[in-house]
Amino acid sequence: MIEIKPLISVENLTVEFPVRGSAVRAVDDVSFEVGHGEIVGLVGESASGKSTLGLSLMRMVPSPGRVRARRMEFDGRDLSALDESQLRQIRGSEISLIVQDALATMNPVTTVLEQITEVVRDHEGVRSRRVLRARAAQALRDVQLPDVEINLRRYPHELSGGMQQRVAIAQGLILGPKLIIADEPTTALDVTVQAQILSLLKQIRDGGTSIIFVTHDLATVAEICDRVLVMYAGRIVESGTVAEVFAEPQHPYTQGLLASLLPLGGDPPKRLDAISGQPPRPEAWPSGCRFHPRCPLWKSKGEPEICVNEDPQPDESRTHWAACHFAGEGVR
Amino acid sequence: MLRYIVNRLLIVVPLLLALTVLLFLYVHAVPGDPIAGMLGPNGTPELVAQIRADRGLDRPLLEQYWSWLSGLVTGDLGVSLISGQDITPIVIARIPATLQLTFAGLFFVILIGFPAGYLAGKHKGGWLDRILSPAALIGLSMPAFWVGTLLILVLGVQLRWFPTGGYVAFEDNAWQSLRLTLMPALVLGITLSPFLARMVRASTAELAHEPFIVQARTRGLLPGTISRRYLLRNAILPVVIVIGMQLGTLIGGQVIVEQLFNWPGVARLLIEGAVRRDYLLVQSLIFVIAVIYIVINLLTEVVHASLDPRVRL
Repeated sequence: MIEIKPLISVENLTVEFPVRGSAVRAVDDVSFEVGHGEIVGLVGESASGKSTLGLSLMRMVPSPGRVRARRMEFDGRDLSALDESQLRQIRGSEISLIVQDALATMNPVTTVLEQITEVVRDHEGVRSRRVLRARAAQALRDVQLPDVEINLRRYPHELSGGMQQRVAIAQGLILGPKLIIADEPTTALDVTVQAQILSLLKQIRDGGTSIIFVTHDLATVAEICDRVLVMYAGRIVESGTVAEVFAEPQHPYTQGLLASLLPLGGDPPKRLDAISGQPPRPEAWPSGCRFHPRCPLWKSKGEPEICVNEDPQPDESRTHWAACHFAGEGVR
Repeated sequence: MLRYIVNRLLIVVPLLLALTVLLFLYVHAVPGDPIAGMLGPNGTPELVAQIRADRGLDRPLLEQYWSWLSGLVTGDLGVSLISGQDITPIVIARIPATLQLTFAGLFFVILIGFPAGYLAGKHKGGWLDRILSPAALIGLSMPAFWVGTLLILVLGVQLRWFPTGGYVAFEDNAWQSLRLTLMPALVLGITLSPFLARMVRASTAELAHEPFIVQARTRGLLPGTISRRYLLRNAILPVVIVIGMQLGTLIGGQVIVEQLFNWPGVARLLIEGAVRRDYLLVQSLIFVIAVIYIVINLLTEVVHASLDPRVRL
């Protein structure tokens, strides 16, 4: 097999927020890679650190947060060594962020045309109105927005939710980024529009762009992702291809997430299994394996000490691994 | 938008009608007889009665009200009880001076208030903010008559840079007219801009947390683009609203400033009328001011709608 360098490779990434003397680690010692033309799902509950992780790849953590990493290599460059103006040149042109609430992320007082073209102006120095307009129109056609000429003149609030999300994606795509971080891009949309946006993202991936798809929705992961990273309490607890993880989840947390999905065929279950308890807060991560207080496997095994005292060390050289002392066991 | 304006004007009609009733009753409830006051010790009861009859004050109140109202509709503000002159031409003669002062005052309010609020809000907690925010508080607590007196004493009497009061029409002598406008307009600017500054500061500081500002940074836009197209253009929006809100204060401030600087505007005419108990003059003037207020308010709404695409009238 030929070794292909991944597009982005992150080793021991930590995002810290200083809170009253101590440091709260929203993302704690995370390593992963994303290959070219790959959609990687980043799955987790609220406050698991998945959105912060996405932002930290652009070194855009809200202040006073700090990003530390042993290595953060993007397309042959070390992201952690770049200064602010070099980072600015990467943001929006090589790495784009698309978020859930497209309307909130658009300037309310400028038209779609201005919104889309300002990145072209600022990154490529293009000044010609005619060229900018043509670029914008093309970008909107690429995301299959109807009535491009009319919509270019519209303001964000005049568009429907699905159209807003398409415009947001067009904004992110217009400079041909190598990596798109899509943070719950379909959560706010209704199901048919969701399906359209997902198929659009797949087309973008087929064009060679890599996508990190941040979501809490396993169904969409199954639909579009190639690989999946499951995050819990600031850490990646399971990693593997979608086929592997969905067929044989090894971490009790992943097993719980999958068990809480409605089965597609057959009779609906009497009651859906849910993971008991609340996700922990970053200022008070549990010791040892952070999932142990909510872990059904830990309880069924008679609450072994090792889960409380020792961090599970997964074998990350395998394609499918889980950070669990009893990986692969547990009730399916 | 045209439909909106027409609708608004239709609402305004009953409003103004109610205002005329209130004004009429209010002014007539003030104790003291204007004619007796005007004539002073020379006013024999016969003379007072004669002049009262001459001005129509002996008629029943309802009749007086009706003749005033029917005059207003045709643009006739009535006759001054004291001088016997037609009020309409007197008011019209005063309007240019008042407008000149109003717009010059607004100019300073915006010139001082907007940049101060914007910069303080953009660098909230920075050194500029720590100077400007207390300064705004001090400005808020300074009454117009005090600031005006101070300016007259320092710039007018001590330094002799500007004349201490008076008015020259712009078309007669533009330079002198501007020199005379500066100090009273500055008083309006100094006393009214702190409120604007505080509003702009709050809204600009809030903008920094808006998702669209954060998103603009993730798109690698130039800092200048973010300032101009994102911060500035959204920070301007509250200015129009605040100015619409402050209009009443501006007119109130005008009364003091016109008096202080001997400025022959509508507000000073109002004081003169009130002092002499010239019912009709006061009634009619307040009515005119109310109409101006409503028109400018409508205008600010139209301007706001043209600046903020989300507002559709």
